Amino acid sequence: MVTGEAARWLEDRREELNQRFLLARRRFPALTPEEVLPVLATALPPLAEGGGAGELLDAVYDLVLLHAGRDRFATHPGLKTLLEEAFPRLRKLLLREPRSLVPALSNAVENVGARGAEYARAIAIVGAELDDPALLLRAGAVLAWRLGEARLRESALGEAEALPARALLAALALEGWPASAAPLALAALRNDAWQPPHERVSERALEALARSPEAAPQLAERLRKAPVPPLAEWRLVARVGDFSGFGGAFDVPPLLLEGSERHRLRVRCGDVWFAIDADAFGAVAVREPPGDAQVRVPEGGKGILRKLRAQARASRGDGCKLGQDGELTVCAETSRFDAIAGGSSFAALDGAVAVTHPDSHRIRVLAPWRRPL
Amino acid sequence: MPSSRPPHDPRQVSASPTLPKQGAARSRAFDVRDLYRGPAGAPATDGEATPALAEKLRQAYFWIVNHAIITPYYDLEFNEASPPSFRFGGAGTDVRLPTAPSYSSFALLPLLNFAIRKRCLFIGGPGRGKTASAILMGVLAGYSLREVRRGIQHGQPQMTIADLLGNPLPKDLLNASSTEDIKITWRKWISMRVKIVDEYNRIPTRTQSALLTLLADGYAEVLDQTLESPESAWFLTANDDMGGGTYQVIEALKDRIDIVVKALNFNPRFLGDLLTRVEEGVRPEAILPREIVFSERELDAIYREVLAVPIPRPVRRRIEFFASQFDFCDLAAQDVEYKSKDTIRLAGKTVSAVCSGDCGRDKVKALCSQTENGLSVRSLMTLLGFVKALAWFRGTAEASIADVRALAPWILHEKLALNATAPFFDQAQNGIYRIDRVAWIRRVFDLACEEYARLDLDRDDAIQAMDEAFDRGLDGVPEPEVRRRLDAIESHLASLAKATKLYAHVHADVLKLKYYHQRYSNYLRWLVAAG
Repeated sequence: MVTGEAARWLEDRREELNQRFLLARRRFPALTPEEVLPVLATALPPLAEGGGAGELLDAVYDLVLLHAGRDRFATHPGLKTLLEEAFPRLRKLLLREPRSLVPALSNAVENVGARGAEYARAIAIVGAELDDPALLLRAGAVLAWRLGEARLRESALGEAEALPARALLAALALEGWPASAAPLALAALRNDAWQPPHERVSERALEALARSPEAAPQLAERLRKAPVPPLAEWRLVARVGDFSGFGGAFDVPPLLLEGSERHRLRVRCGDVWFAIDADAFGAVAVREPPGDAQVRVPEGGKGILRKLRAQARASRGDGCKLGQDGELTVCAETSRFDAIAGGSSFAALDGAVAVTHPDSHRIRVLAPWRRPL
Repeated sequence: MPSSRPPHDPRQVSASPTLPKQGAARSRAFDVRDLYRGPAGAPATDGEATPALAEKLRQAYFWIVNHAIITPYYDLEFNEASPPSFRFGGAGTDVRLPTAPSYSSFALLPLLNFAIRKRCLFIGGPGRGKTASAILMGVLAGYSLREVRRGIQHGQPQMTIADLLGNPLPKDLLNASSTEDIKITWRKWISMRVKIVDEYNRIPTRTQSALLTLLADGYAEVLDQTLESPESAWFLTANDDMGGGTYQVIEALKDRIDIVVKALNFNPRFLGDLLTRVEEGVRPEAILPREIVFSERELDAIYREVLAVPIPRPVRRRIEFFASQFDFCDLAAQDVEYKSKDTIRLAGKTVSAVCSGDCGRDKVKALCSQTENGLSVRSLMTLLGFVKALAWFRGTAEASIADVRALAPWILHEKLALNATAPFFDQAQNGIYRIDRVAWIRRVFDLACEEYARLDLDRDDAIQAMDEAFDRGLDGVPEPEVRRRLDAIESHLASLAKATKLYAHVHADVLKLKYYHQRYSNYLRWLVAAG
């Protein structure tokens, strides 16, 4: 039972809202009042209280019709979380730009996929630190990146510069850090996005920073200029991708292709080619047209692997070499890593290495691991 | 800014770009705005430009045809390649499948009229959506449905000037010592930017004259008091396309109509859509998305953008060639200047009567015999304006012949009076043009273009060089050069007289040559006198 301001708004607009429902049902024949009314009953009252929310309620009403019509509440639970948990907490910001914020946040929840509910909850936390609707969208981009939308890395690093410290730390799930540590988080990610900020700054350093915030610039500079550790200190930092049956993109174990970059891997699975944006926060695989890039296989393979290696024997000039036994050579340094032994292909990633295995749908990424400050 | 809407909800606006260019989408990398883009609309993120006005108008068009008006007629055809065509038996009908985006005249022409603030007449039987379409234009201009409805002037036999324009205050009428002391309570619709006059052919003649002043000159007058009207888009409706009705529409008022839009009949195949509307009481005009509402500033900007669309010389020349065909009549007068159908009308004769005499032309081929009149300057200005608007709407860099061909029938519909006795219409395949005026004007345009091409006037136009020389101005042109140009004019006139009859287009050329000759002669006299 809806009461209060929301009930009044529904009553005042009854005829028009009913017509909008009918219009929506014309295109979504399966749309029923039973699907729409419970969501409205939960979503509208907290937004309506306090008055002056007509436009916001209007936008939310349309959104509910849309998702009920598309039957998305069942497949994207994040949408309900957004409507019922996040929007009430974001009310102050939503009231200022309901027509843009409401659909934008809904789209973002859908676009981050399985982590939509997490996005919805986190954006409410981030929003509590903001008073500018435009900044909410910027913070939302950083949040989406942190939740695995790796394609946003460069944009998000740019957006992050404009955010208040507390909002940035909330978006990066570093709420426990002092506000003065926000520049450190950014510096760490700019220095190496394969290692998350919480592994780069120790608790002790954070405590010290809380006591002496003026030390932040100096610490940030140290993070920015942190030298690359010896090869022996590299670690397996990520397993990228998965079998399509488990929600991944690969039908068969992938093979890495030439032309991969530090945060953009190029692979093929049979005849299907992918570009994968990846970093410490996650990975996104997108199909791309087949090209002529070749597979680079580790030394010492047999059969088909030997053949492929022969195709790709030409020197890459990157000083990177990988053996079947996991012996990795990078810039004249050599070290052995069991995690990458028996690889089917590998790629040098400008200061990191990616390796595939014939019995795995996941790409292993080995990268420098720097000790925390 | 777009907002959340179900994708097929009538409040949904077509996604931009409405005219996608091939390969444009692939090149862009994933961006923050992509995160916020999706089924719930595509809000602009920080710093993103608002959609271009042409794109916004296209979105309005697609909203109208997708959600507001059931008009499954794509009669404004455009092609990038030869269209597949299917011939049906019976009277012999060709059905073409256009190869480029094509449009419904009933939806697009009012929209163009709205965009460039001209005067549009809807014609067609009752219940065809004429008034509904006009109302949509009012709502597009940002007025509430209530305001638009209140602003509609419903033509009826008892309509007085006061009903139309406003009343003097009774108290002032009693106390005033002069007309300046009388205060008029003007009707609100006069100040609206979209003006709708329903069934204008039911307005009494005297009231039509008051309407004419407002429509043509942009002000209203009652008891010596005047009120200026803003630049407005006019939409008039009439059930009878000949302007009949309770009262005969005065010629001057008809002449001010810039474009005619035909409300086509309902295709029963779409009865399902109609049924849904009946059952659900759908009223699209009540839920027009705010994303496609145009502010006054936007309309001003649109007008400026439209005016900036160039009409290249080859297109302009075809319009000139086409227009030159109608006013000319070799039998109308002795002097070249008066060989005009106006001369015939002023003499109280008709072209059909005069044209029965022999002028040495093939009357089937000569386009001049097909009309009772020529094209007015106003018609040509309107044509040029709408051609620019259509090219702008279609997103092309400049106007094309296809734009002219698409629009000419609708702009000249009420302007060109057909001479039904012309031998052209006696040809078996041409009889239909006595009834189908749109097809007739389009056919005449095609014939004019064919003749233009046959004469190879794009490449062989002696006057082009003279135009260019004259356009550079006379200042500083030395006497020998002036004499050379005069010789060239005389030589060209001599060669024309020798090689061809005085056809309509030749007549236009001859008059221009005579004009140049006079300008150069006067200049030469001035040069000689100045020493």
